[in-house]
Amino acid sequence: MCDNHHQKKRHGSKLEHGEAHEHDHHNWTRKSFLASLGIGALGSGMMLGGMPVNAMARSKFLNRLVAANNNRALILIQLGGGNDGLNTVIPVTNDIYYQKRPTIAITKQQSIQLNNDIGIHPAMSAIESFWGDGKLAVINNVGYDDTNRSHARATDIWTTGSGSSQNSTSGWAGRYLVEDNPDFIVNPPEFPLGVRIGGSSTLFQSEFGNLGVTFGGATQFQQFLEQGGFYDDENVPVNEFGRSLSFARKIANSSFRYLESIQNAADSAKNFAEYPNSGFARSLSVVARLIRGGLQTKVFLVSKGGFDTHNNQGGTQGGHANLLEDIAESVNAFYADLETDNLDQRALTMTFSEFGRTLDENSSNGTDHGSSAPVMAFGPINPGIYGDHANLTDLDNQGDPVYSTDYRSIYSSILKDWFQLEDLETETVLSGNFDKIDFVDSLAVSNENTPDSTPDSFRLEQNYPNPFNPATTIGFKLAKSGDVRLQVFDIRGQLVSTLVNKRLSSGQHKIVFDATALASGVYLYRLQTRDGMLSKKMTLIK
Amino acid sequence: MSQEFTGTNAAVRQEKKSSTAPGLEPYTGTWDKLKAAHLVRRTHFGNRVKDLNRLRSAGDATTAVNALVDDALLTPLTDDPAWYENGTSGDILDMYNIQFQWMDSMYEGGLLSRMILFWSNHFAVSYNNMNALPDKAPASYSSHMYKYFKLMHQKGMGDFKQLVTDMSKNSAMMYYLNNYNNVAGNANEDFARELKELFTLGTEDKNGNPNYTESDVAAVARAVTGWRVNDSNLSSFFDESRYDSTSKTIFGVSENFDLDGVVDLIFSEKENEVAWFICNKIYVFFVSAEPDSTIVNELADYCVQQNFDIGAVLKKLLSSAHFYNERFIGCRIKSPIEVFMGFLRQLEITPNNEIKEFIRQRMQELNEELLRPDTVFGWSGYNPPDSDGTPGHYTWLNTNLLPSRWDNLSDLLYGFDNAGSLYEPIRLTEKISDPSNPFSVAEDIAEHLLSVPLDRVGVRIVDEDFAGDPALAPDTSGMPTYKIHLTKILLGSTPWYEFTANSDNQGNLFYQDTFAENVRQYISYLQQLPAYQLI
Repeated sequence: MCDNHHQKKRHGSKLEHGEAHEHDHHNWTRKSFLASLGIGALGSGMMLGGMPVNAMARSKFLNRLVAANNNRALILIQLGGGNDGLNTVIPVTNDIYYQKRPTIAITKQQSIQLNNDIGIHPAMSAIESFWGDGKLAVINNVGYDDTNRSHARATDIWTTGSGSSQNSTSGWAGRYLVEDNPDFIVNPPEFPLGVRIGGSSTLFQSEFGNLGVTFGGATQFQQFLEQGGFYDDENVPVNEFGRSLSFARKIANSSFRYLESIQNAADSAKNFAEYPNSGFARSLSVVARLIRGGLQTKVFLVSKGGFDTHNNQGGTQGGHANLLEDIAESVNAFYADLETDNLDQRALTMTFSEFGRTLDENSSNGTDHGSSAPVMAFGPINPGIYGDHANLTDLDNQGDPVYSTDYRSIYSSILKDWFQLEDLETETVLSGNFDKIDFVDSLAVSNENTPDSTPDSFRLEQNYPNPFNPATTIGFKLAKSGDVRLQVFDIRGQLVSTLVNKRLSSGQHKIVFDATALASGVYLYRLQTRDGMLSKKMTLIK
Repeated sequence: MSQEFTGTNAAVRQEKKSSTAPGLEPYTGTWDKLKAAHLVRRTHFGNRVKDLNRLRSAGDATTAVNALVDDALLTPLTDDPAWYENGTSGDILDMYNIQFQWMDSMYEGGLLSRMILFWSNHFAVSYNNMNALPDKAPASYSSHMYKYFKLMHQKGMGDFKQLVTDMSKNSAMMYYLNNYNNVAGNANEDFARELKELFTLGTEDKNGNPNYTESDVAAVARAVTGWRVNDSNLSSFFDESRYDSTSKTIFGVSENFDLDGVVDLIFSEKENEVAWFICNKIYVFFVSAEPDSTIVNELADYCVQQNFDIGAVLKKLLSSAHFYNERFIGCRIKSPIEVFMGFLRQLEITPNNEIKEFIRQRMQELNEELLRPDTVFGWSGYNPPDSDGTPGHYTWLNTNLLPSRWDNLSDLLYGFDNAGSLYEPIRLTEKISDPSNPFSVAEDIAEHLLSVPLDRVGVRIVDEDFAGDPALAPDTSGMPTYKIHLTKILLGSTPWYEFTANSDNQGNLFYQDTFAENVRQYISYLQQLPAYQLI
């Protein structure tokens, strides 16, 4: 903006009056802190406001940075409305099931049998092969104490990971992402931590705001790509209002800090499978494209509604069958797509719904809001059926099954075995200790960021001496010449010094790090090469 | 005025010149909610239900505007704060207290508070920048600033010439532009230049001809010598011994001008230029950042006819057919204080001290604080287009400032970061909508928060069907697309038939936590739409 003709008269704006400065110093806040770092606002685009930086979370930065990056993704499929678990994973030898459901029950012969007593709905034939190929796990009879039967409240319980009498405003995935990225406030990633295409926004709520970028569906995603952002800055009225709207939209589009990472991922990848013609399938195809394009997002949420089948839900045919068919065919396409380049090993998928449905069918050939239900998991899992199917004789006071596996045990398994959180961290995310179930294949993919990151291509040695004062020597070895960066960080994740940032020849290298100007404490040094990165801790004692 | 816009495409630019808007004749069209809300937003700090109802009930634009302007003229001064009555103050907290008092009147009051904002930009005085008051009057600057603030309240709706005269002699202004220390023989041109360049004439007239020469500036500088400030009674006084009593030639007229004489001369010799200059600024502040030269010319003629009566000029402009043309509805980008106060007024969150302090700090961090303009030019955001034609209000938004706005409003909504408490949306919803009908709630809240017609907003397209039992799918036939999507966004995974308000045994409505959170998240979504930045 031109203000040359103003230059002559600037009275300046920088000089703080001492008293004001002193007063304001007492009110130093998170945002002031961020502003001082030149971050200002988080600029996440769809971020809600946050609370002050949590010191506890921040102190974990070091451990997380030392741990290798993890390129695993979790895809959550929300079955909105309350899926009828009893007609999804069917107790095909249980007489009570058939007595209670005279018109909608699925017979053993009709079902796709997983074993002698359990069958799945025939509409899910598209994933029949998953069972044979070891890509399907079923966790039976999942729920929690005092099932809440309101859609809204029960959805909150499942997405916040709280008990039925607790109120939590943050989602379990939001808390996980904070735990996994404790420094993201000062060091925000270039990619969204969560992506939501439908489903409950609560899942990604965190103490720092909502961590999920939201798309209304594949239609909006396509618009997003075409417009270069969420908003159309060209199709506006040709007048004063339209020009201002266009300007605000342009700024909003470019304020969205993940724009580039999402665009790059989408631009560099295609889908390699035919998806069914459904909104849900298209949402999954977007997820596959983003994963293939290298977007490092950890958690994706996609949803399909309509499971609130009070009326004419049908048996082998009908409304419920159509819903399950779409789920199965879409999931099948999703994995067929990912398997073409082995990305399926990075993508763990699980379904959930706010509740199951009543054991009794109602007078409208449907079912009402119920209690526990099974969870299905696809992809890199240890195949099998976990937990016993609902015992249809031991019912709650509304006549519905009593759960046998707490739903948070599933979250616990994912956090520990898929995302490799420590026990303590998992307990922090879930506000308690929940026994894990071994359905996750914790060895499915290397936990390293790049497959080449073998100790052979480069090696980072422990500094010597250590502890040290004031100088120490850091040694590393390169198998081949290449670009190398060696940096030192403090305990809060702040960059302290860049020791090397250039091309080096192969062989042994030694760098002296002088910490004369630094305070005592633990520091971290990190070596980055084309083949990956390694980090170690060192201790300065003065 | 040649218009070159950054940030707009060529096609938009080209077609701009072909369209025309109606003139200054009174608006006689339907006095509907859209028009009345436009008037409220531009004359108050954002839409508030009671102001909308009051102005709508006036029945037509002229009646509504006359009432607004007359109310502003009659707005009594609030009692002076105790710190001001108890002797002079140079305490920064008292300075903040002025800001807080102003925020209160922005929240409760009408046009006058907005006019004070206009004048604080026009007669810019900064309480705390380099060369500003604390260096010159460390023990009394807060009191001087309060007197400056009061002057804008007392004279802001009346005779512009009188305001220029009084402002020229105001102690805060004297300090800020260094006229308190302007001695014969060594005249200081600071105030003399700004009196012409910023307060009355501008460097050029509407045709681009210079309004004065450098020798005029030097002569005016001599004419306004002799003034001093008395810190103990916060007033300026004339010290003849410091005054240059020799003849000065200004605009070709030679006489022994003093300060009053200079103001008289400007308003007599250059009345058309002054009228055009001030009307152009008023137009940009109230109507559009892209001034319409025909309208500004007409308004300037009217201003001269009315002897520079600002109230009369505002009545003319704000009741005109021009003002209510759809191209101007939502065409201005909100200034920072409009964002904050507008949000509070829309949601009816009365700003307590904690909230006011929150706002003050956020504005200070972003260099947007009240009574603290960056330069003597005030804030570009309120001013006419720059020399390259870029509308001034573009400076209010960039990729740092816009996300800050989102964050700050979310903080206010959730009471994070010492920004008050968690917002409970039921009372507002009850007032403007049917709390148990999510379709109405979604549409009415959006209409209440956004200045822009909802079909222009660019609402997120939600592919999925409404949550809930498919057999109970809502009948959306005949419903506009934006309303369907907005309702889906409000509801999320809540079925439409479950979303409802409850009442306690006294009959007070309330939302269950989960529905209240739905509404909060919905408000948060709306405030992050680009359209929310428009007023």
